[in-house]
Amino acid sequence: MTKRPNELTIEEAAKALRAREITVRELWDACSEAAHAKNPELHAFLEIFDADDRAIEAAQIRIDTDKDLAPLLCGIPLALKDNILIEGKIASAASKMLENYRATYDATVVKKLKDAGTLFLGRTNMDEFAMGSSTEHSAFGETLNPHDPTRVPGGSSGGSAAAVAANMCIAALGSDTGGSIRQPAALTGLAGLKPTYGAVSRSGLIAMGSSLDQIGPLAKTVADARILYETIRGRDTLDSTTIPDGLYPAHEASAHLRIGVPWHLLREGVDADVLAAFDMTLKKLERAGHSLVDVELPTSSHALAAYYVIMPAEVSTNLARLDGMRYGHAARGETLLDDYRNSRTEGFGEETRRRVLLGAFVLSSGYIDAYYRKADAARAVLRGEYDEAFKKADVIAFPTTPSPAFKFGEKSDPVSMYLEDIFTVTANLTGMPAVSVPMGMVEREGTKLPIGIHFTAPHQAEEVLFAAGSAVEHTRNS
Amino acid sequence: MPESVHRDCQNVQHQVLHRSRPRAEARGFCYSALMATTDEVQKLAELSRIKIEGAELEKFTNEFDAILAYVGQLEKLDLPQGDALREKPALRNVLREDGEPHEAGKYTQMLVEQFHAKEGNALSVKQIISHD
Repeated sequence: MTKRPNELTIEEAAKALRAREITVRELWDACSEAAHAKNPELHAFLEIFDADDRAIEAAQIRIDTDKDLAPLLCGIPLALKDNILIEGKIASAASKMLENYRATYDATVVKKLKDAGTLFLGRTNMDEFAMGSSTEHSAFGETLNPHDPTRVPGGSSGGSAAAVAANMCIAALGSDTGGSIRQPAALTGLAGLKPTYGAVSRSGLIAMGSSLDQIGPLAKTVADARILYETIRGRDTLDSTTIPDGLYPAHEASAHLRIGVPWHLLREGVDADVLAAFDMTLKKLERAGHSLVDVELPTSSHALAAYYVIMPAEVSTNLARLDGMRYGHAARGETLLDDYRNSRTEGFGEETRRRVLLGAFVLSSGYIDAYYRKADAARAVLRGEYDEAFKKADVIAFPTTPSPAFKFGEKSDPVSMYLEDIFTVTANLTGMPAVSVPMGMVEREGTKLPIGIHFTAPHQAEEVLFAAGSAVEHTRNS
Repeated sequence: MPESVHRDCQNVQHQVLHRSRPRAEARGFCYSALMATTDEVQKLAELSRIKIEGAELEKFTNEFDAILAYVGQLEKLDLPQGDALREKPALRNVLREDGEPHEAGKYTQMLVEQFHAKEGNALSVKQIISHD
């Protein structure tokens, strides 16, 4: 074996465990040592957990006993974003507000992973309450991009992305409200999936935008992302927005995909070398037997504006529960109102306060029609345009981001940071699944930085996304 | 006012609730030129139970203007009216039947441990109604 155990993919590690080339303990130790060694520099983890000896032993016995029948994730050390609840562990959402909050139950995805015998290596850094595209809004300091430590790893799931990209764990879970899995995946050279809204339970995910949030995988390969997705997905009585299989019309993953490209949205705003890499990837896909079709998505140019109305509205509602009473940061004053106000003022960081206020604004009686209802209507139109485009395309392709990882402090005004999400928010607004897959490197100041290609598919057509992602991986390897 | 801007204002204004019109018009605003004031941001902060003061209030107000200018592009978006937007989504939020409660007291200890102040298993808060 030429790779170190912590550098393996889920598929490779599962194979090595079954072939007795490594033990679960050796795999855990390799990841734990790498995490401890690299975390002081990268700050990907907010906490690295101690070894759970019983879980490690149980996973080893299960693999030895069940062999190929054991789940592929059995004995695999994963990292979890700090907004996913593990009973008894801190879940802070990278906020001072929840710095000492200890989860009283397992998120449904955690239950499913525990059932599969997965091991949890630690909780990863993120933008506070998942609001941001760089981890610069974490209350506990930013995470650095393993490809260039002067640059951001993306966000908000930047800690999970950096942990996987730096081989501090085998794979990780993040959450995606407007691109928070796919953008960091692109900026760190990983595969990242935002599942169909309702495909994965949100029970035990600290809510940001409830009509937009989904938990999903950040992984070294598309096949690994698929393994994680298959493990965590499914209907859940604890989340009534989860959906049954077959709710939407079935879509087969054809060997010859029709790839829709909305060229009209790419004429400006994308770095020339990113656009060139996108074009080259599409040409390679065409040579591999897939076809390209031009699609029109006229309302897409307004998607980000609609998102930045709907999301803060939901944020202000969801975060209203955090008042310093039953749990979380508690600052006290003269009156009960002071208690609420002091707790929230001290507990929330700047970006969180900004979005809570913005949400209160767009929902206020004088503006709700001009902003919120208009954005909600735009969302419905957008969904219709995508449905129409999917009549002639199996997937729709974009570059995941207009540019590679940016430098810390480079996007200091809110709007320039929000523009990072310009190609990713649409999938959250429409509820459709989307994936980012590495499509090469571009150079900035002598350093090669990864970039991603983004595919959106119709609702519940994740298999089509995996086919498109695998096709890109094949073109890269060919 | 240029004709195109005037038209945009009319487009937005005809969708605005009656009760909001006097407020906007009294200020002389057309929505595409909407700007936040420090008073408004202060009011939003009060409603949101957050304190924002001094230089930060000024900064937030300026940033609000930039954000509102960006999201304000929605005003220029012509959308179909009526039934086209009322298509019933396949995904619906459903309620489940009550039943299968967890064992009483199962989470009590863990929840109570998170209280900042308590009396026994009860959360202790400041008096809400004064008898003065």
